[in-house]
Amino acid sequence: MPELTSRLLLAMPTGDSGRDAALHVKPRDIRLVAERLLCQDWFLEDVCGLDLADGLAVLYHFAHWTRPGRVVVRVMLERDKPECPSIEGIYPGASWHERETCDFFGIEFTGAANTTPLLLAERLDPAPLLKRPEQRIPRGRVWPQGEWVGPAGGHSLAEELMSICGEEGEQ
Amino acid sequence: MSWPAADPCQGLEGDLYARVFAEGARDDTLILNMGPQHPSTHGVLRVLLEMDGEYVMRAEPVLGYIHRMHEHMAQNRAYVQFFPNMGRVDYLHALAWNWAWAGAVEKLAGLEVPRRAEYIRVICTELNRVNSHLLWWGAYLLDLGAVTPIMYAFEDRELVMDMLQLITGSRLTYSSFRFGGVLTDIDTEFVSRCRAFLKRMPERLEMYRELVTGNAILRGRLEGVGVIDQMTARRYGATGPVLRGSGVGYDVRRAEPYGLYHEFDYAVPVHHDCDCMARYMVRMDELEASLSIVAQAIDGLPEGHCIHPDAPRGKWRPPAGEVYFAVEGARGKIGVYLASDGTEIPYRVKLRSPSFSNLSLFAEIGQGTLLSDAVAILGSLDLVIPEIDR
Repeated sequence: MPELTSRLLLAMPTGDSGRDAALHVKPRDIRLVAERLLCQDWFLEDVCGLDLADGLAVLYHFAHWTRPGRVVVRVMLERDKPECPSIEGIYPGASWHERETCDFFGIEFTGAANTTPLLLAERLDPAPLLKRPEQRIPRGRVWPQGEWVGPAGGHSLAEELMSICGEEGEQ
Repeated sequence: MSWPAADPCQGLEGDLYARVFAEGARDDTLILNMGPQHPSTHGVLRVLLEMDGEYVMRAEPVLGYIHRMHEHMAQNRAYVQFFPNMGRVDYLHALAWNWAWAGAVEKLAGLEVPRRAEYIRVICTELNRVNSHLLWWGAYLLDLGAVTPIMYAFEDRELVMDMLQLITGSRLTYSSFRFGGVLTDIDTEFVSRCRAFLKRMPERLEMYRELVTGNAILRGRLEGVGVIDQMTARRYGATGPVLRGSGVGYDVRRAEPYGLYHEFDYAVPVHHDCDCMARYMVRMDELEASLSIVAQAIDGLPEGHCIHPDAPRGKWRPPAGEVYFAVEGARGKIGVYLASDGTEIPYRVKLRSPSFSNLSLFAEIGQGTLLSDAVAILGSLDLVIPEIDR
């Protein structure tokens, strides 16, 4: 079962962190989730890389024109080979965000049509926003999961997104 | 080398971007570089165009000419030291970026802002928005070939900049917000100047309407040009006047209320034609809406502190965690993602700039337009390049 949080289960007051539902999916599920969000008229705010002790994370922030709140979809990638499927076929606006994330974190977005550097003149090695090993913090510190991770019962969007993701066991 | 050369363009392939772009080109078209020094690109935007005569077959913006890596700078300094950077991301609506940064940190740390400070924030942010839209108005008409309006716009802008200088100390790159309030209080001189400005502007806007907005040449250039339908706007994440010109009343001040905007009565202008003229009209209407907010805020200005007495000063440690905070800038939704590890220095800061998403749809809507219309479309997006490149 994908790890999932929803506003109904947040221990902290809702809205304090600026999001309503945070969904942790496997890289292979990101296109399915993005497709479902587009069908429900969510738009992509940005794609944000994050360097953690557990690996590299990609955060997709989605917002809606008429529904309140924000959905965050998180993907964890391996540090040795950070690869994530591109969602530019679903949200063409994601293309630039992904190229920027590739510039700054060295994350490859597979299936993207254009992979030339966007903001930097060339690829830097190491990528400029990667942390030194001693600086990295575990994800539990940024996302205090102990407080609010749980099954997303009652949150219809979270339940729907959860149902389209594959089960943990099947790869 | 034999003459004539087998390939007369040998050695003229251009840089990496031009070579990648030229791969998909037809044989009988011309690859044209517009910018990064072209006057209509407002800064250092470069657009690669594949031209068939006067028509744009393909367009691709090339970014990065004024990239300064603000996100990296954020990870190297104390929280309060990042305010000057926020004044330089979008130099035209710097106070909205100030607010985005202050708001994100206040949300993370649960800081309170006194009512008077909230009112001051609203007043100067809205005055700054008026300033931004006035510059856009002048510069856009300059792009379209009308030289005079920018002189009128700057006359009004000078007044706003004089006022904002009183309370922020700067004329363009403001960094006057602080966690828990603002740096300086407003005084009676500011209030009287502000009232005089509010009295002056309706007449000026009326004159702009008569001189420019109704002009047949302007309407001919803008109506039906650069149509952005709602689906395109959604897929590219367009926000701000670009989105409201496509008939969607999405405004962060209403959708994700922040500050004390819910206490003011103002309209969110929406136009349904989806073209350049609709975006023009949205911004002209927003000038009036912003002035109305300023008038209400000046009248209802509460007494109190301009900064919370217990507000953090200097180096200070917020709690660990993450936060996302969005505000409505002159160009659209400004977002700040902040991850903190509980030290004096931010762990990760991501800046979501509205022009970035708004420009990314140009490749799609620029296709098949005349070159002169492409200039009109670029201008109607109200781009600020330093904000795109960050």
